[in-house]
Amino acid sequence: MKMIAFFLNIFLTMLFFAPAIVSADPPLTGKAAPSFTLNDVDGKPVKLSDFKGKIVVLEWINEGCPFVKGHYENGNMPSLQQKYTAQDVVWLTINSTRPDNSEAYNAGQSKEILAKWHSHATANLMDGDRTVGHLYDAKTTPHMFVIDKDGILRYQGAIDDDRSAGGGKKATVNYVAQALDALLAGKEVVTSTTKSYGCSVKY
Amino acid sequence: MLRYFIRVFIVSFLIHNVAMPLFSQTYKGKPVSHVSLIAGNILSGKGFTLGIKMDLEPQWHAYWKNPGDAGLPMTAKITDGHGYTSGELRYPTPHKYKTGDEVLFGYDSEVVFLLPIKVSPGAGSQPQFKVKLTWLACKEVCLPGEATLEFRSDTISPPQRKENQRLLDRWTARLPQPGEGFNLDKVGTTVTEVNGKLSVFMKFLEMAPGTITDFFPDVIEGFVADHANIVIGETGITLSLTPESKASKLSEIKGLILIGTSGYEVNIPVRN
Repeated sequence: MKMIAFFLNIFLTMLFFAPAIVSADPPLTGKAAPSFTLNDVDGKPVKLSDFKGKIVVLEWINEGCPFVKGHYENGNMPSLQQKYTAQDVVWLTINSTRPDNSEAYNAGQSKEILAKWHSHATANLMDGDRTVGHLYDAKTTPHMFVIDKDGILRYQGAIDDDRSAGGGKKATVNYVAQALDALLAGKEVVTSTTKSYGCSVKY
Repeated sequence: MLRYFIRVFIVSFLIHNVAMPLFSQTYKGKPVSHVSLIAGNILSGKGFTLGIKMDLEPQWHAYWKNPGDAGLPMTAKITDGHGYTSGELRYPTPHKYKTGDEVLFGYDSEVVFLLPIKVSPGAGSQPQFKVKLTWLACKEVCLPGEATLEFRSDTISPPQRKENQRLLDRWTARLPQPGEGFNLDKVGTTVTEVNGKLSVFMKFLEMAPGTITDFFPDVIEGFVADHANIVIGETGITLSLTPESKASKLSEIKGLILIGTSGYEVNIPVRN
């Protein structure tokens, strides 16, 4: 009996201290967006469920990535953020860069850079243990996800069709703007998945 | 005097960045990659192959035409041709780099991309032109590269031509080969849809089981390939594709079949 109690104790201890189980399957467009809670750059917890009833954009970011820099430094990303947050869209940036990566920035540095870039995101979230990055299977920076008012993932992929580090200068279509315009007009998102491009997420 | 030195500095800077046949990419003062143009035997008035040689410092890599889950491929184009034009850049069989769920296709250490050069009637007998190159080199960070290099065949010495030709021959041998020799054109496909994704099984009908080592797909227009979950079975390959929209229609899958470390080009028609 003591032996059973001993092993039960070990099992429960392992269960308690086990790392968060991350879904091996990437989220599917048309299905519920996985829920998460992350601290923002000021240390304030932000839950995806806080924004139920609103359209939410998730933007994977790494301030050291030239593709991200391109989209911010030419004003493309901030103007998109400004345009759609003005229409009650929630825009969350998520940084899943491994903290010991040579180009990783801490929350304070991240906040400073994003302010310099005139970011209009609703909140800038730090995903230092990379759980949410893996949960969404974010592959690049930027990698964009659009979630509708019912919490259903409606778009995932590239920001546009530029596919260069030029920050969207050669883009003929901005997939995120296209998805947001459709959702705001109550229409179906036609292009629901594209191949994202950029730096790999530095997990 | 100061103006003279400033002028010399500016001219030297421009020559280094625009006209030199070698470009060195650096990051925080340390070398990342060195890119140069090489040519071997050139017959007057005939087309030839120009090599774009890239030497990468340890742990840095550059990308194949389908970079995989991230990255950008090398591109090359003649900009100031004087009667010489470039064809489609040819990429040697790449390596596959896998980290966690991420798959990249590319090169490390040394690679020579091959650019076919065509000549128009009336072009000068000594090829002279500029080539614009763009690429991305990544290690822990990614660094876009861009350079315009000038090529002048009359500046290459005979021994250098010989050495270049050996290098070009070596990398030409690493280009993907046509797949017919291995009956890679004898293939049947089965497509099933699961959760909005297409699972495509490509069965090779006249091939000894276990011959295929790997499969590197080209970019498939209208679909996103799941590079991390390409299954190589005894008789075929399973590839999972997510359509970009309901209008996406799959008609063919192009890519490289790996047999050992050699790449063979396939163009597999798909009937839905």
